[in-house]
Amino acid sequence: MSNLFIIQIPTALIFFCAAIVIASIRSQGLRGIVLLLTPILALFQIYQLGLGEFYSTSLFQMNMELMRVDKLSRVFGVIFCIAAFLGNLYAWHVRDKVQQVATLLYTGSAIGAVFAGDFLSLFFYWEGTAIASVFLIWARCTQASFHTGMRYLIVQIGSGVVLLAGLALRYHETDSLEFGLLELSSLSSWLIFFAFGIKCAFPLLHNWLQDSYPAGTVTGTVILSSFTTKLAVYALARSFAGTEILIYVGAVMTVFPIFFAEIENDLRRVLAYSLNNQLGFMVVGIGVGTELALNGTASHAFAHILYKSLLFMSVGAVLFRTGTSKASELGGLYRTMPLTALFCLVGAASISAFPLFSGFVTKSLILDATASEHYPFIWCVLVFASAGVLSHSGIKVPYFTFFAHDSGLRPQEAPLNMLMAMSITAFLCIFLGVFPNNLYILLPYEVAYAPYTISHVLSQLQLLCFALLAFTFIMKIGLHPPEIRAINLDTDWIYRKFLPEKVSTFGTFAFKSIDSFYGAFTQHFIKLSVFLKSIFGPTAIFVRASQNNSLETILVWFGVIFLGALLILLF
Amino acid sequence: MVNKKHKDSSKPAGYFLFSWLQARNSVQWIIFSLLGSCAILFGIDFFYHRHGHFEIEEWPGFFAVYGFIMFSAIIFGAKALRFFIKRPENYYGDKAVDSENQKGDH
Repeated sequence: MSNLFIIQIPTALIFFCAAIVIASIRSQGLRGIVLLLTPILALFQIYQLGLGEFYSTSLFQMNMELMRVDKLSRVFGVIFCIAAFLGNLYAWHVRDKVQQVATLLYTGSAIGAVFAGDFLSLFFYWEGTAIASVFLIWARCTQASFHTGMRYLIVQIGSGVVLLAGLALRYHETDSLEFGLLELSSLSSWLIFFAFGIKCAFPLLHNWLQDSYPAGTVTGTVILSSFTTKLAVYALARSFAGTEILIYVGAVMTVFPIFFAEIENDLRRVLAYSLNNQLGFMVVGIGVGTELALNGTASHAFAHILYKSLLFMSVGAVLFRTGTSKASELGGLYRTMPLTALFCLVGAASISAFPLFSGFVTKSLILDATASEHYPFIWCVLVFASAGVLSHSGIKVPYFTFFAHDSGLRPQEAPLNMLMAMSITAFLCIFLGVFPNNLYILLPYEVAYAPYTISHVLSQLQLLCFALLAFTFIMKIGLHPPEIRAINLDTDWIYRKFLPEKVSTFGTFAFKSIDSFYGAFTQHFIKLSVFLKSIFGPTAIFVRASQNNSLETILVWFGVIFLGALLILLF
Repeated sequence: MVNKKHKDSSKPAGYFLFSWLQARNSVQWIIFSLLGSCAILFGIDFFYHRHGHFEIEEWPGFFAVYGFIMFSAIIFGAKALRFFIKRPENYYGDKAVDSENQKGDH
């Protein structure tokens, strides 16, 4: 097998080659097949390679490790391939070549970054994910999506630039660019930490996520939700495992998005907030940094990609059929979209960590790790956040879309390819929940963990059922915040409203003062030229007296050149 | 996407999954079964001693009370938050997707 061409190249290149192939194929069916086969081929290759380092090369005398397969990178590589397959199946009906090529380049970059063994190749792939993914937003082809895409791109590229600064400093300090464990002690490691933090949607750096994901195309958002942020989680787990500050950062991340999600109207933005909250659990796991905790993070990322895709798929199917994903416009769709409703419920049960669903067998690893490392307060916060997950992803998304009041909409059931993608994803969510050992064997460390103890199951069921009871009670007394057509401010207000307005006020002021300065200057200049003309011009006494026309010509040219130079200098 | 005309008379695949919700007493039935499950789950705590890392976890009914109170806190907290940060849908104008609808293949 080792002679096969396929395993002579890094996995990312399989996707890049496929992107070139896709770009040159005219047949829609054939393109779909290539899109489905590529992740399967990549998955096959990852398993063929086994563990180890492959494909070293050098660029400007710096070593680049293009393929470092260890247990941590492999679990992320595997789930990225699965997510790419499911996402492409979901997008089977899409004919837009731009989205198809972008998806492959984006997926390839994400997988390349996961297998990168040094910061330099990580940087290239890091920027690759940013540039390729923005096309999934722009493909919506509206003015708003263009602006949203630009904002997204600026943040993502910004993260790459910070990473570049960090790795340059690091190379200067240590002469090495190995993508390994770092200590938060120098400016370089802080910069790298910050770059990872932007992509991981740390609190206050998070808003690109909620801004951009609801703007993607129906299928694009499903793809987007799987890679960028989980790549950042992987990078943090690789470089900053056991960094205590991450525990607190993660805890904040689990809590604040809950409140925003609860009052958000666009269900894809609700899911983006909920994604942010789930990332918080993973970040806490990285901060705790024990084997159990890192296993928790890796497995939670694995399960999360599946159920989050599933939720985005089901809301996407509704958006595809009805043209809206706003809770205020939806309701009662179970009548005509029962299968989509069922898959959405499976996703909701998984993310809420009901026993027998995937979230339960992964989140409890992280909760257990915080408890056994004696962080009682953090543990309480995470349990609180678990109730919060139920509130928006577990109840709000399925309830206000498929049940609640009848919106009168009677859309057709989702297309077959979407149903297939959703059913496979839903199957995996349940399969991993019922047979967690199939997931545990993929994890970076040996797992000696039994999620299904009576205490575990009982406490989780109590938490969830009584939270459901609270929901029912609050609905019955009519105090639940109604779904209304509105948006909510978040930190992006600063750079979308506050700063532009301030800058434009300042700009207008500055422009006016510069303008008046130049205006005065120009007036003086005109006076001067009139004066000069009166002396040297054609009507001037000297000229008339001498009748020397060549002087006039010289003067005109002099004036033109002077004015031209002045114009260039001033404007 | 193939646009077949949806016939009113035909039922979609999996219709049976949720059709029982249209029965008159379905909501009451759901609420009663939820109440029943909660009562059972709460009751078990007095017969079975759960194990946990912290002492508080082992108190009977801890998770039930915590879940109920925290969920309510989230809802009311969010309601209070909405008071401060709610804005009209077109607040960001044509630079945000909030005031546009999506249709078709996109």
